[in-house]
Amino acid sequence: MKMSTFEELKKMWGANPENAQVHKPYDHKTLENIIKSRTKKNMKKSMHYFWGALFLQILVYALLSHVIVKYGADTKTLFAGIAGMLLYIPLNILLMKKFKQMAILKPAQGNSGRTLFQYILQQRALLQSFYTFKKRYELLLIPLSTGIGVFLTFKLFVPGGIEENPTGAIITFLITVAGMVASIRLENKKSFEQPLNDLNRLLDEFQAEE
Amino acid sequence: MADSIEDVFIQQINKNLGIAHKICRVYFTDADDRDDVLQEMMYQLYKSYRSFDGRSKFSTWMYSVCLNTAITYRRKGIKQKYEPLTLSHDQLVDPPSSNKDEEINMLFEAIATLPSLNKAIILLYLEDLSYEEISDITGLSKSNVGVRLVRIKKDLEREMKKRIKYNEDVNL
Repeated sequence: MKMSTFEELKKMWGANPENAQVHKPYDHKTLENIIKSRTKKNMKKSMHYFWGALFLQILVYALLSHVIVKYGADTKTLFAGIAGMLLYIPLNILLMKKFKQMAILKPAQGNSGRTLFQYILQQRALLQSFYTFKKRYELLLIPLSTGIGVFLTFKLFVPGGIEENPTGAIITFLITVAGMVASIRLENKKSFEQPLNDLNRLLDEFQAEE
Repeated sequence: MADSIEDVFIQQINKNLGIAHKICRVYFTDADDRDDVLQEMMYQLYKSYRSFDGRSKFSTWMYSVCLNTAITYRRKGIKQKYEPLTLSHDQLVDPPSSNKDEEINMLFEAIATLPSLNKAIILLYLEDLSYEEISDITGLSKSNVGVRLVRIKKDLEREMKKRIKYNEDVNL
Protein backbone atom coordinates (compact mmCIF):
# COMPACT_ATOMS: atom_id res chain seq x y z
CA MET A 1 0.00 0.00 0.00
CA LYS A 2 1.40 3.37 -1.03
CA MET A 3 0.97 6.22 1.38
CA SER A 4 -0.96 9.27 0.12
CA THR A 5 0.59 12.71 0.30
CA PHE A 6 -0.48 14.96 3.14
CA GLU A 7 -2.63 17.08 0.84
CA GLU A 8 -4.42 13.92 -0.31
CA LEU A 9 -4.88 12.84 3.28
CA LYS A 10 -6.35 16.24 4.08
CA LYS A 11 -8.86 15.87 1.24
CA MET A 12 -9.73 12.35 2.39
CA TRP A 13 -10.18 13.66 5.92
CA GLY A 14 -12.66 16.26 4.70
CA ALA A 15 -14.55 13.71 2.64
CA ASN A 16 -14.52 11.03 5.33
CA PRO A 17 -18.11 10.11 6.25
CA GLU A 18 -17.20 10.25 9.93
CA ASN A 19 -16.50 13.94 9.50
CA ALA A 20 -20.01 14.51 8.20
CA GLN A 21 -23.04 14.61 10.43
CA VAL A 22 -23.34 10.94 11.37
CA HIS A 23 -23.55 11.28 15.14
CA LYS A 24 -26.88 11.11 16.86
CA PRO A 25 -27.98 14.70 17.47
CA TYR A 26 -28.88 15.91 20.94
CA ASP A 27 -32.44 16.86 21.77
CA HIS A 28 -33.52 19.23 24.54
CA LYS A 29 -34.16 16.45 27.01
CA THR A 30 -30.82 14.65 26.54
CA LEU A 31 -28.81 17.84 26.76
CA GLU A 32 -30.74 18.93 29.84
CA ASN A 33 -30.02 15.60 31.49
CA ILE A 34 -26.31 15.87 30.70
CA ILE A 35 -26.11 19.40 32.08
CA LYS A 36 -28.08 18.50 35.19
CA SER A 37 -25.95 15.44 35.90
CA ARG A 38 -22.69 17.36 35.30
CA THR A 39 -23.81 20.23 37.50
CA LYS A 40 -24.71 17.72 40.18
CA LYS A 41 -21.39 15.93 39.77
CA ASN A 42 -19.38 19.14 40.04
CA MET A 43 -21.44 20.32 43.00
CA LYS A 44 -20.97 16.92 44.65
CA LYS A 45 -17.22 17.20 44.19
CA SER A 46 -17.22 20.63 45.84
CA MET A 47 -19.61 19.55 48.56
CA HIS A 48 -17.55 16.45 49.28
CA TYR A 49 -14.73 18.73 50.34
CA PHE A 50 -17.12 21.03 52.18
CA TRP A 51 -18.72 18.19 54.17
CA GLY A 52 -15.28 16.79 54.99
CA ALA A 53 -14.18 20.15 56.39
CA LEU A 54 -17.50 20.63 58.20
CA PHE A 55 -17.35 17.14 59.72
CA LEU A 56 -13.84 17.85 60.99
CA GLN A 57 -15.01 21.17 62.45
CA ILE A 58 -17.95 19.54 64.23
CA LEU A 59 -15.70 16.82 65.59
CA VAL A 60 -13.11 19.31 66.83
CA TYR A 61 -15.67 21.68 68.36
CA ALA A 62 -17.66 18.86 69.98
CA LEU A 63 -14.53 17.38 71.50
CA LEU A 64 -13.13 20.70 72.68
CA SER A 65 -16.51 21.88 74.02
CA HIS A 66 -16.76 18.68 76.01
CA VAL A 67 -13.25 19.23 77.40
CA ILE A 68 -13.97 22.89 78.26
CA VAL A 69 -17.28 22.11 79.97
CA LYS A 70 -15.99 19.11 81.89
CA TYR A 71 -12.45 20.19 82.73
CA GLY A 72 -12.63 23.97 82.20
CA ALA A 73 -12.03 24.69 85.89
CA ASP A 74 -8.37 24.14 85.19
CA THR A 75 -7.00 27.29 83.51
CA LYS A 76 -4.47 25.51 81.28
CA THR A 77 -7.07 23.08 79.99
CA LEU A 78 -9.52 25.93 79.39
CA PHE A 79 -6.98 27.94 77.39
CA ALA A 80 -5.83 24.93 75.39
CA GLY A 81 -9.47 24.14 74.51
CA ILE A 82 -10.21 27.73 73.46
CA ALA A 83 -6.94 27.94 71.50
CA GLY A 84 -7.89 24.76 69.62
CA MET A 85 -11.28 26.23 68.71
CA LEU A 86 -9.90 29.59 67.64
CA LEU A 87 -7.22 27.94 65.57
CA TYR A 88 -9.70 26.23 63.28
CA ILE A 89 -12.15 29.08 62.63
CA PRO A 90 -10.14 31.56 60.51
CA LEU A 91 -8.09 28.93 58.76
CA ASN A 92 -11.09 26.92 57.69
CA ILE A 93 -12.93 30.02 56.47
CA LEU A 94 -9.92 30.91 54.34
CA LEU A 95 -9.56 27.34 53.11
CA MET A 96 -13.19 27.15 52.02
CA LYS A 97 -12.96 30.54 50.30
CA LYS A 98 -9.91 29.43 48.36
CA PHE A 99 -11.52 26.13 47.49
CA LYS A 100 -14.68 27.84 46.27
CA GLN A 101 -12.57 30.12 44.10
CA MET A 102 -10.87 27.11 42.55
CA ALA A 103 -13.75 24.67 42.22
CA ILE A 104 -16.96 26.62 41.83
CA LEU A 105 -15.97 29.72 39.93
CA LYS A 106 -13.64 27.89 37.59
CA PRO A 107 -16.08 26.57 34.94
CA ALA A 108 -17.92 29.86 34.46
CA GLN A 109 -14.80 31.93 34.07
CA GLY A 110 -12.48 29.48 32.58
CA ASN A 111 -13.55 28.22 29.21
CA SER A 112 -14.77 31.07 27.11
CA GLY A 113 -12.85 32.81 24.40
CA ARG A 114 -9.47 31.96 25.85
CA THR A 115 -6.67 30.40 23.89
CA LEU A 116 -5.52 26.95 24.86
CA PHE A 117 -2.35 28.46 26.32
CA GLN A 118 -4.25 31.01 28.42
CA TYR A 119 -6.68 28.35 29.61
CA ILE A 120 -3.91 26.00 30.77
CA LEU A 121 -2.07 28.90 32.43
CA GLN A 122 -5.24 29.87 34.28
CA GLN A 123 -5.90 26.30 35.39
CA ARG A 124 -2.36 26.00 36.70
CA ALA A 125 -2.52 29.35 38.49
CA LEU A 126 -5.75 28.40 40.27
CA LEU A 127 -4.51 24.97 41.28
CA GLN A 128 -1.07 26.25 42.30
CA SER A 129 -2.57 29.06 44.37
CA PHE A 130 -4.86 26.69 46.26
CA TYR A 131 -2.09 24.13 46.73
CA THR A 132 0.37 26.72 48.07
CA PHE A 133 -2.24 28.00 50.50
CA LYS A 134 -3.17 24.46 51.56
CA LYS A 135 0.46 23.59 52.25
CA ARG A 136 0.95 26.70 54.41
CA TYR A 137 -2.33 26.00 56.17
CA GLU A 138 -1.30 22.43 56.92
CA LEU A 139 2.19 23.47 57.98
CA LEU A 140 0.67 25.69 60.65
CA LEU A 141 -2.41 23.68 61.60
CA ILE A 142 -1.01 20.18 61.91
CA PRO A 143 1.73 20.78 64.51
CA LEU A 144 -0.38 23.26 66.47
CA SER A 145 -3.53 21.15 66.62
CA THR A 146 -1.53 18.00 67.32
CA GLY A 147 0.34 19.82 70.08
CA ILE A 148 -2.93 20.95 71.67
CA GLY A 149 -4.39 17.45 71.28
CA VAL A 150 -1.38 15.77 72.88
CA PHE A 151 -1.28 18.33 75.70
CA LEU A 152 -4.97 17.80 76.50
CA THR A 153 -4.76 14.02 76.24
CA PHE A 154 -1.81 13.82 78.62
CA LYS A 155 -3.27 16.45 80.92
CA LEU A 156 -6.61 14.65 81.24
CA PHE A 157 -5.73 10.99 80.94
CA VAL A 158 -2.07 10.47 81.84
CA PRO A 159 -1.16 11.01 85.50
CA GLY A 160 1.45 13.75 85.72
CA GLY A 161 0.60 15.17 82.30
CA ILE A 162 3.29 16.13 79.80
CA GLU A 163 5.42 17.64 82.54
CA GLU A 164 6.17 14.22 84.01
CA ASN A 165 6.03 12.30 80.70
CA PRO A 166 7.88 14.49 78.21
CA THR A 167 9.34 11.57 76.22
CA GLY A 168 5.94 9.88 75.86
CA ALA A 169 4.36 13.18 74.86
CA ILE A 170 7.04 13.88 72.26
CA ILE A 171 6.77 10.36 70.81
CA THR A 172 2.97 10.63 70.64
CA PHE A 173 3.28 14.04 69.00
CA LEU A 174 5.81 12.80 66.44
CA ILE A 175 3.84 9.64 65.59
CA THR A 176 0.63 11.62 65.14
CA VAL A 177 2.32 14.28 63.00
CA ALA A 178 4.09 11.59 60.92
CA GLY A 179 0.77 9.79 60.29
CA MET A 180 -0.91 13.03 59.25
CA VAL A 181 1.98 14.08 57.03
CA ALA A 182 2.02 10.69 55.29
CA SER A 183 -1.70 10.77 54.50
CA ILE A 184 -1.57 14.42 53.40
CA ARG A 185 1.39 13.74 51.13
CA LEU A 186 -0.52 10.92 49.46
CA GLU A 187 -3.53 13.16 48.94
CA ASN A 188 -1.40 16.05 47.70
CA LYS A 189 0.42 13.84 45.23
CA LYS A 190 -2.82 12.57 43.73
CA SER A 191 -4.89 15.74 43.84
CA PHE A 192 -2.29 18.47 43.30
CA GLU A 193 1.22 17.41 42.34
CA GLN A 194 0.25 15.05 39.53
CA PRO A 195 -2.28 17.47 37.97
CA LEU A 196 0.24 20.32 38.31
CA ASN A 197 2.90 18.19 36.61
CA ASP A 198 0.46 17.43 33.79
CA LEU A 199 -0.32 21.13 33.33
CA ASN A 200 3.38 22.05 33.44
CA ARG A 201 4.11 19.38 30.83
CA LEU A 202 1.42 20.91 28.61
CA LEU A 203 2.91 24.38 29.07
CA ASP A 204 6.34 22.98 28.23
CA GLU A 205 4.91 21.79 24.94
CA PHE A 206 4.03 25.40 24.12
CA GLN A 207 7.54 26.57 24.86
CA ALA A 208 9.29 23.66 23.16
CA GLU A 209 9.58 25.24 19.72
CA GLU A 210 9.34 28.95 20.51
CA MET B 1 -31.05 26.43 34.73
CA ALA B 2 -31.34 23.64 32.20
CA ASP B 3 -34.80 24.83 31.09
CA SER B 4 -33.21 27.83 29.49
CA ILE B 5 -31.22 25.89 26.91
CA GLU B 6 -31.75 27.83 23.72
CA ASP B 7 -32.87 26.14 20.53
CA VAL B 8 -30.20 27.94 18.59
CA PHE B 9 -27.55 26.52 20.91
CA ILE B 10 -28.77 22.95 20.38
CA GLN B 11 -28.95 23.47 16.63
CA GLN B 12 -25.41 24.79 16.51
CA ILE B 13 -24.12 21.99 18.73
CA ASN B 14 -25.78 19.33 16.57
CA LYS B 15 -24.50 20.94 13.39
CA ASN B 16 -20.93 20.84 14.72
CA LEU B 17 -21.14 17.67 16.78
CA GLY B 18 -18.46 15.99 14.67
CA ILE B 19 -15.92 18.41 16.19
CA ALA B 20 -16.43 17.02 19.69
CA HIS B 21 -16.41 13.41 18.47
CA LYS B 22 -13.21 13.84 16.48
CA ILE B 23 -11.41 15.51 19.38
CA CYS B 24 -12.53 12.65 21.64
CA ARG B 25 -11.30 10.07 19.15
CA VAL B 26 -7.90 11.74 18.80
CA TYR B 27 -7.32 12.25 22.52
CA PHE B 28 -8.88 9.18 24.12
CA THR B 29 -8.62 5.50 23.32
CA ASP B 30 -10.91 4.31 26.09
CA ALA B 31 -14.64 4.30 25.27
CA ASP B 32 -15.68 5.27 28.81
CA ASP B 33 -13.25 8.19 28.81
CA ARG B 34 -14.64 9.31 25.46
CA ASP B 35 -18.23 9.23 26.74
CA ASP B 36 -17.29 11.02 29.91
CA VAL B 37 -15.28 13.75 28.22
CA LEU B 38 -17.96 14.21 25.55
CA GLN B 39 -20.48 14.96 28.29
CA GLU B 40 -18.01 17.28 29.98
CA MET B 41 -17.58 19.09 26.66
CA MET B 42 -21.34 19.59 26.36
CA TYR B 43 -21.43 20.92 29.91
CA GLN B 44 -18.52 23.31 29.30
CA LEU B 45 -20.07 24.48 26.02
CA TYR B 46 -23.36 25.17 27.78
CA LYS B 47 -21.61 27.03 30.64
CA SER B 48 -19.54 29.14 28.25
CA TYR B 49 -22.24 29.80 25.65
CA ARG B 50 -23.43 33.04 27.24
CA SER B 51 -20.00 34.52 26.82
CA PHE B 52 -19.84 33.54 23.15
CA ASP B 53 -20.10 36.92 21.45
CA GLY B 54 -20.20 35.73 17.83
CA ARG B 55 -16.98 37.51 16.88
CA SER B 56 -15.53 34.16 15.80
CA LYS B 57 -17.38 31.35 14.03
CA PHE B 58 -19.35 29.02 16.29
CA SER B 59 -17.23 26.10 15.06
CA THR B 60 -13.97 27.90 15.98
CA TRP B 61 -15.33 28.67 19.43
CA MET B 62 -16.50 25.07 19.80
CA TYR B 63 -13.04 23.77 18.83
CA SER B 64 -11.55 26.03 21.46
CA VAL B 65 -13.84 24.91 24.29
CA CYS B 66 -13.68 21.21 23.35
CA LEU B 67 -9.89 21.23 23.03
CA ASN B 68 -9.49 23.04 26.35
CA THR B 69 -11.69 20.41 27.96
CA ALA B 70 -9.99 17.42 26.32
CA ILE B 71 -6.46 18.59 26.97
CA THR B 72 -7.01 19.25 30.68
CA TYR B 73 -9.32 16.30 31.29
CA ARG B 74 -8.12 13.99 34.01
CA ARG B 75 -8.70 10.31 33.43
CA LYS B 76 -10.02 8.20 36.25
CA GLY B 77 -6.93 6.97 38.06
CA ILE B 78 -7.42 3.23 37.69
CA LYS B 79 -7.52 3.34 33.90
CA GLN B 80 -4.09 4.89 33.71
CA LYS B 81 -2.65 1.66 35.03
CA TYR B 82 -3.48 -0.12 31.78
CA GLU B 83 -0.74 -0.43 29.23
CA PRO B 84 -1.31 1.57 26.06
CA LEU B 85 -2.29 -0.45 22.99
CA THR B 86 0.50 -1.64 20.74
CA LEU B 87 0.53 -2.04 16.96
CA SER B 88 -0.42 -5.71 17.26
CA HIS B 89 -3.62 -4.81 19.13
CA ASP B 90 -4.74 -2.85 16.10
CA GLN B 91 -5.11 -6.11 14.21
CA LEU B 92 -8.16 -6.95 16.30
CA VAL B 93 -10.10 -4.08 14.78
CA ASP B 94 -12.51 -4.93 11.96
CA PRO B 95 -10.83 -4.44 8.62
CA PRO B 96 -11.73 -1.11 7.06
CA SER B 97 -13.89 -1.23 3.95
CA SER B 98 -11.44 0.54 1.63
CA ASN B 99 -7.87 1.73 1.36
CA LYS B 100 -9.04 5.28 2.03
CA ASP B 101 -10.76 4.24 5.25
CA GLU B 102 -7.67 2.29 6.22
CA GLU B 103 -5.49 5.33 5.67
CA ILE B 104 -7.82 7.57 7.64
CA ASN B 105 -7.82 5.04 10.48
CA MET B 106 -4.04 4.97 10.38
CA LEU B 107 -3.97 8.75 10.38
CA PHE B 108 -6.16 8.81 13.51
CA GLU B 109 -3.87 6.26 15.17
CA ALA B 110 -0.75 8.19 14.15
CA ILE B 111 -2.22 11.46 15.48
CA ALA B 112 -2.97 9.71 18.77
CA THR B 113 0.79 9.15 19.26
CA LEU B 114 1.56 12.90 19.13
CA PRO B 115 1.95 15.14 22.19
CA SER B 116 -1.28 16.91 23.23
CA LEU B 117 -0.60 20.30 21.68
CA ASN B 118 0.55 18.84 18.36
CA LYS B 119 -2.63 16.74 18.23
CA ALA B 120 -4.66 19.93 18.49
CA ILE B 121 -2.64 21.69 15.78
CA ILE B 122 -2.87 18.88 13.22
CA LEU B 123 -6.55 18.32 13.94
CA LEU B 124 -7.30 21.99 13.29
CA TYR B 125 -5.16 21.89 10.15
CA LEU B 126 -6.97 18.83 8.80
CA GLU B 127 -10.27 20.56 9.54
CA ASP B 128 -9.12 23.24 7.14
CA LEU B 129 -8.78 26.05 9.65
CA SER B 130 -6.41 28.83 8.63
CA TYR B 131 -3.11 29.43 10.43
CA GLU B 132 -4.71 32.53 11.93
CA GLU B 133 -7.61 30.53 13.35
CA ILE B 134 -5.23 27.86 14.68
CA SER B 135 -3.19 30.64 16.25
CA ASP B 136 -6.33 32.17 17.82
CA ILE B 137 -7.39 28.85 19.30
CA THR B 138 -4.03 27.66 20.60
CA GLY B 139 -2.34 30.93 21.52
CA LEU B 140 0.73 30.15 19.39
CA SER B 141 2.02 32.66 16.86
CA LYS B 142 1.18 32.04 13.18
CA SER B 143 4.82 31.42 12.33
CA ASN B 144 5.12 28.95 15.18
CA VAL B 145 2.04 27.11 13.91
CA GLY B 146 3.70 26.87 10.47
CA VAL B 147 6.98 25.58 11.87
CA ARG B 148 5.23 23.04 14.06
CA LEU B 149 3.04 21.80 11.22
CA VAL B 150 6.06 20.97 9.08
CA ARG B 151 7.49 18.90 11.91
CA ILE B 152 4.17 17.27 12.79
CA LYS B 153 3.59 16.21 9.18
CA LYS B 154 7.04 14.61 9.09
CA ASP B 155 6.34 12.77 12.36
CA LEU B 156 2.98 11.56 11.07
CA GLU B 157 4.44 10.39 7.77
CA ARG B 158 7.10 8.44 9.63
CA GLU B 159 4.49 6.91 11.94
CA MET B 160 2.15 6.00 9.09
CA LYS B 161 4.93 4.44 7.02
CA LYS B 162 5.85 2.35 10.05
CA ARG B 163 2.26 1.19 10.32
CA ILE B 164 1.94 0.45 6.61
CA LYS B 165 5.16 -1.58 6.74
CA TYR B 166 3.95 -3.42 9.82
CA ASN B 167 0.63 -4.28 8.16
CA GLU B 168 2.41 -5.48 5.05
CA ASP B 169 4.73 -7.69 7.12
CA VAL B 170 1.76 -9.14 9.01
CA ASN B 171 -0.16 -9.84 5.80
CA LEU B 172 2.78 -11.62 4.10
